[in-house]
Amino acid sequence: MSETQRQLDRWTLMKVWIRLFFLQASWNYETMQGLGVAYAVLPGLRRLYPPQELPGVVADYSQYFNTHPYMTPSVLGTALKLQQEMAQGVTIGISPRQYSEMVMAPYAAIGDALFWGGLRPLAAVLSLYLAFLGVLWAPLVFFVAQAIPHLWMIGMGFYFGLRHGLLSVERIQQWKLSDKALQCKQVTMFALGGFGALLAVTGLEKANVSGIWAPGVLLSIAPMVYLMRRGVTPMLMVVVLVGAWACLYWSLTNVVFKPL
Amino acid sequence: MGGLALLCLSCGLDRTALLQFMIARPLIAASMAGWVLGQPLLGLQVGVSLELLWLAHLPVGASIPPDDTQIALGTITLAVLGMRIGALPAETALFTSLLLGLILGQAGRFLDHRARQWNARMVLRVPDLVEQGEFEQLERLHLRGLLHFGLVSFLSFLVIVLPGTGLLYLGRDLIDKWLTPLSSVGVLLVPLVGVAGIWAQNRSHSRSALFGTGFVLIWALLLVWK
Repeated sequence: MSETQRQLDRWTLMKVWIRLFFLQASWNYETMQGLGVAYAVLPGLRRLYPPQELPGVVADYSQYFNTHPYMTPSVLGTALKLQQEMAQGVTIGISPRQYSEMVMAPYAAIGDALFWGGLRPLAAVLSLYLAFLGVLWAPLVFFVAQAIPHLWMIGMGFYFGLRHGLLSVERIQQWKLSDKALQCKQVTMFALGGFGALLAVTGLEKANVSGIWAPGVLLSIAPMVYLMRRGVTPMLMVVVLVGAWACLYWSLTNVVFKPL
Repeated sequence: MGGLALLCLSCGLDRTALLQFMIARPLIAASMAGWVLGQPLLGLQVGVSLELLWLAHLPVGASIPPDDTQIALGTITLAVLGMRIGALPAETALFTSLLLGLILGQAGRFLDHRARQWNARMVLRVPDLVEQGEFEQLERLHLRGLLHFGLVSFLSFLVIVLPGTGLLYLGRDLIDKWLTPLSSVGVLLVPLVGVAGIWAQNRSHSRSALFGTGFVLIWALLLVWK
């Protein structure tokens, strides 16, 4: 295989892209996504290197790697472009491994903030409105609201990485994903407040109390927020709240309103 | 039962190991299980109750949130069984199953941790395989991780459903007497904790003002509407 023949074709890139969906199959505490990265890029590396050169190259990819799974295609797209240039004998300033090590932590932070911390809660809260009203296709709304940005990022991230190489970092910066994450969080808080009101009014009505007292429930959420910020787990909070509700209910029915 | 097992496996894998299309989220997983078990509305209610609870617990690095997927699937299964074998009213079955699912489901985190440890032991072989150029074996090794994640998904589900069913059956009279009066409001307490959890983790500017505005707006709309 001459150096000029070392080129990634579309079919190979498609195989790599499909394998990206299996990235975390062997997620572990040692190399985290490392083995998954090696698994994903193997078709590309096989295309670029003769068998005797492969072990040295694959060894670089099977080391520790950890970033947000939706951001990985962007990292690996660029790494593969750099790898192709290296295989063709082009002098590059940074190796694919150095590049991956450099961007995986910032990309993880962006991905966590946008997808896990921003879009997912927003999609969840908006779907919960529908679900709470008994709309049976609410889960489908939730699924689509998450699947579109997921697929877009997996597809476009990989494409931009391959097409623009190191410049893909600038492209991703231009998308201002961190700002979008912040906007999502703000909209989520607004929608969450509304959902809290929906829960409060429904709960009060089920307890035969007028919904006009719902702000009282809001006052009970605030201490929960305080405690959870100080490390009280949701599980413990549920146990305490159910216990408190049981005590309140039994004291009201057996003591305060005890039948004569 | 086959449909439920398939759902348990596919949602369990989607959670971390495969695709990550988020069908593992409680709202989606419980709703699909509700359809499979012939109780779509109950599935939706389980999803609403559990969706927000650990949503703010991000799977960052080695931090593993509780397995809310199997908790959701286990809870809806228990709720349906509670109605069928325990002859409990739907709301009581839902409330009891939520409590059982939340408590028994804590084992899921341990099992999830175990799958990652099995994978960690597995990757110790990777340097040798790479050096020897055994790349097909390397690929198989990676895919074996799916078996580990799939297995612990099943186990997490069984850890909830098997003891949970026993408790529902044996304690059905006590449950009916003590938990039925608490159920209608009780089922709303779980999502309320979820709301507080999201608020607690949200660090955006003006979060409390935004939450308060949303609350007051919907509250006012509901009062006017009703």
